Amino acid sequence: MIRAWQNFPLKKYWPATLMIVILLFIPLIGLSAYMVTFLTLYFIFLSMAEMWNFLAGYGGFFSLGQGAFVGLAGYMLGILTDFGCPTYAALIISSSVSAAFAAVVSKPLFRVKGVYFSVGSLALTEMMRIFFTSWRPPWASPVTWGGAGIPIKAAAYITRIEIYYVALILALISILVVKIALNSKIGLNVIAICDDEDAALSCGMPTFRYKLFLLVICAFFTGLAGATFYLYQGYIEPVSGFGVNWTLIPLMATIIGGLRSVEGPIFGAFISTILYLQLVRYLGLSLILQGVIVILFVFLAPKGLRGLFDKLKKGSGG
Amino acid sequence: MAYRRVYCELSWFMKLIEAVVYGSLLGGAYAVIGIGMSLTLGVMEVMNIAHGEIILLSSYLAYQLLLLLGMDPLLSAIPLSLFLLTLGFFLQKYCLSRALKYSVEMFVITTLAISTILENVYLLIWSPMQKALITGYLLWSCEVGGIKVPFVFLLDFFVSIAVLVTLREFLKKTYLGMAIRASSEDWKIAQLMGINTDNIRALTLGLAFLTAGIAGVLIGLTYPFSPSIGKSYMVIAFGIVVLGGLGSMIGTFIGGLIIGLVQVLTATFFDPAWQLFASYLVIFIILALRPKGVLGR
Repeated sequence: MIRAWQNFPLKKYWPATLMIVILLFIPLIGLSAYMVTFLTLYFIFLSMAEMWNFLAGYGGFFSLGQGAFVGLAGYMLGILTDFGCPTYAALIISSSVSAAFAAVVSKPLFRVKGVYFSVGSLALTEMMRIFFTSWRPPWASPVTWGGAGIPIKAAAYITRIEIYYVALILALISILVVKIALNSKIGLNVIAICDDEDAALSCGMPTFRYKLFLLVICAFFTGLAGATFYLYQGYIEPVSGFGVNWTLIPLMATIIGGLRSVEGPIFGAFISTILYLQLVRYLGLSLILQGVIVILFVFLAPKGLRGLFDKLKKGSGG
Repeated sequence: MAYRRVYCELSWFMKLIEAVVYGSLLGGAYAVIGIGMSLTLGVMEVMNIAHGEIILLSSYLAYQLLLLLGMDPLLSAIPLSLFLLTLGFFLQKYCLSRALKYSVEMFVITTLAISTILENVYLLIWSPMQKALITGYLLWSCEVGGIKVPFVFLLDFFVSIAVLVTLREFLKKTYLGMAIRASSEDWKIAQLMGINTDNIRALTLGLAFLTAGIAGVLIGLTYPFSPSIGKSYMVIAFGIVVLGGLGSMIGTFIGGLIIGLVQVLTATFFDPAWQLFASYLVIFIILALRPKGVLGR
């Protein structure tokens, strides 16, 4: 154990380690409520962005249906805590439900290649929204469910600081999972499938299994991030739960930071959070601005800030 | 986007006949929604996520023309679809072509951003309340064998057949149509044969927007519309492409019929609240079982 710690490459990772230590202790010093909220949302969005980047940047599956995983996990959290399930168990179970759902729908989604996946996932989110708008379970009280949504009871018994730590750990684990997966055989196979699926298949790779793994991991952590968000929000209704903004937030964070880089979303999610918090009162305006930013980045800097930075470095170098 | 049956007592069998007739007629209108998506997917190999919002743009502009000038929606369909044709052409030529050059996914992302922007602009201008194109002939209907058929449903059906046949003939007979078909077969060879493929792509998106313009007026006459409904149109267009397969007008028409029938049959015999869900479910089942469409091999 000690040997392992001695071998830890502190020189390489000291900025990240320092950052994590600061983030771990910062709420104890007494941070303003606004800052705690900001950081909590930042961690949630960061986790979603990392997962979207893993799926789209490395796997080549441009999912536009992250809302399906977020909304499903949020609803499951509401239902489970309503039945008296402890909060942390409910978080894990609800995101597992989200992952199981991804496994079920992977069959039609992966059936046809290319843009079908993107539009199919968007269609799936719409389907889920309509389902939760129309469905009334037998135990429902007359004022909740349907378009009105449901309250999440666990939100009343958990403090903001606790949610901060949950979100922080979630973000760290998401980044770690993506890093580890990319350095392992799984990541290499996923990238190979993204580059040329037919070639990978002809090499004898079980491509469907890897694609399934990718989607399930992504759905699990996106669901966990969504459930954490709704634990913070305390209320879920179908229009926002299965909304397009759950795709736009990670998409914008990734496009700004740069596709196919683990570090990109760390910066991009920061901008997403600022936009979300500053414009939260004008939801329509916020979405218009997000759309404009995405279009500008696609046209002017399709590789994101990272691409711009690389270009700048190359330009000044020679 | 919700079919509502006027309440009256009918026998079980008459209800079924009525549902089949209404479903087929509405299916015509859905075919016009889907044809634009099928065209862009067939020729450009991309999907335009903002398709539903473009349909809504036509509905809202027809509504505004009706409100301000008292212009009949059927009359305003002509200038509106021509306007959308030019809009689509220049949007692809000077704007979206840059995203398409980078990758297909970037095109999809850009159109998602456009669709989000348009939806929220409609919210700001026209409010979230439902609007409808209300005209004198909205209440006309004719009675065939005990079933009342609204004039608007007949209009949907026949205009859509006219649009599909015209488009088919245009693609088959004219030089421009042949150029579009040639480029959908193979880009590079078409380019070698002297076809300006950039303009062909722009024209394809323009044609898709033109059909969206006609669909917007038809759907606006049939159902009330609100800014958030654009996504449903898009999903139905996607479903028609999935059901009908690519590149055939008949397939598109059949896809429209299936969605229309599923929707109206669910509304009549099960519960009107579940009609859209049922049609979406059918789309996903077909996608899992027959990814090349019901007619595909």
